[in-house]
Amino acid sequence: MKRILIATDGSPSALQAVEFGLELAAEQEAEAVFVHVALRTEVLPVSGFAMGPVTVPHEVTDHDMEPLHEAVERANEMGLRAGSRLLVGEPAKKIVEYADSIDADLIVVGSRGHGAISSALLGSVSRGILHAAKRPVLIVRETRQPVEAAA
Amino acid sequence: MFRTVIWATDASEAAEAALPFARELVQESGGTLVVVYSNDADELGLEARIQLQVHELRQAGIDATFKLVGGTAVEPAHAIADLAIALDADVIVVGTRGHGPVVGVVVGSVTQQLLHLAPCPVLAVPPATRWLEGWARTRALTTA
Repeated sequence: MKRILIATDGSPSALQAVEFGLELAAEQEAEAVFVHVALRTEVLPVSGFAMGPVTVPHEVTDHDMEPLHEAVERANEMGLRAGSRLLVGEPAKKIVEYADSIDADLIVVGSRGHGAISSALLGSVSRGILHAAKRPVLIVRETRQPVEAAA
Repeated sequence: MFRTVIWATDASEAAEAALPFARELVQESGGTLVVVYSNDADELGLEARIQLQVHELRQAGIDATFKLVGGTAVEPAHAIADLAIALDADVIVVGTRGHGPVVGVVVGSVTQQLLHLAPCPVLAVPPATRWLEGWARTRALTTA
């Protein structure tokens, strides 16, 4: 494997994916690339009468970059080189497209992300990636404990 | 990282597409490939076919073993997850049919369950996946 794409939204499940993906990248001597997707629009709560929810374009902020910064920092701690890219749009679609554009050998995702209903067995983004991807997808379970550094 | 690799197969085209990936992970780690087939009624003689495949893998130098799990009272996902727990598996490799990964006779729900039950990561390989030689790059062997 030359390039491993790791999706992260900063959720606990994604952090497990980051850990596992980095371990794999280290073992494979592969490049890790982190990707996070910001929504194109956001819905503002509106309290006024006779008004529905208002959808406005999302402006990219430092907050959107945070999961990527955290992940790159973690990679650096492990002595690995890692790239990152913030995308905007529909998460699963964007991640799959980006994986194709960089010809990733593998997409690593957590089993759940932010906003997933806790009873859902698989987050909607992870499921969307599974359905759309034309390359292998490694789904890392949320409950998996980080591997201790071992010989 | 992937010393014990489970490849769940029902001998379908989708499952077959995942084999090269499972195989390469094992070849690189020098680990064991556990070929698991879960079915309650082996009407199509698939077990024999998969056994033959395991034999061929062994001949190719892969440490492969065959496991038949399940039965009428056990759901495939549970049987596969239980095996993964018992073997302390590092990864379960499954094929998908585009509408959801497949690891048995039921499409979708089995994998949804498996992803919930599995004690380890699950590698899902879509049918359209282009196989690249050296996907998991084999490095110089430092262990004998």
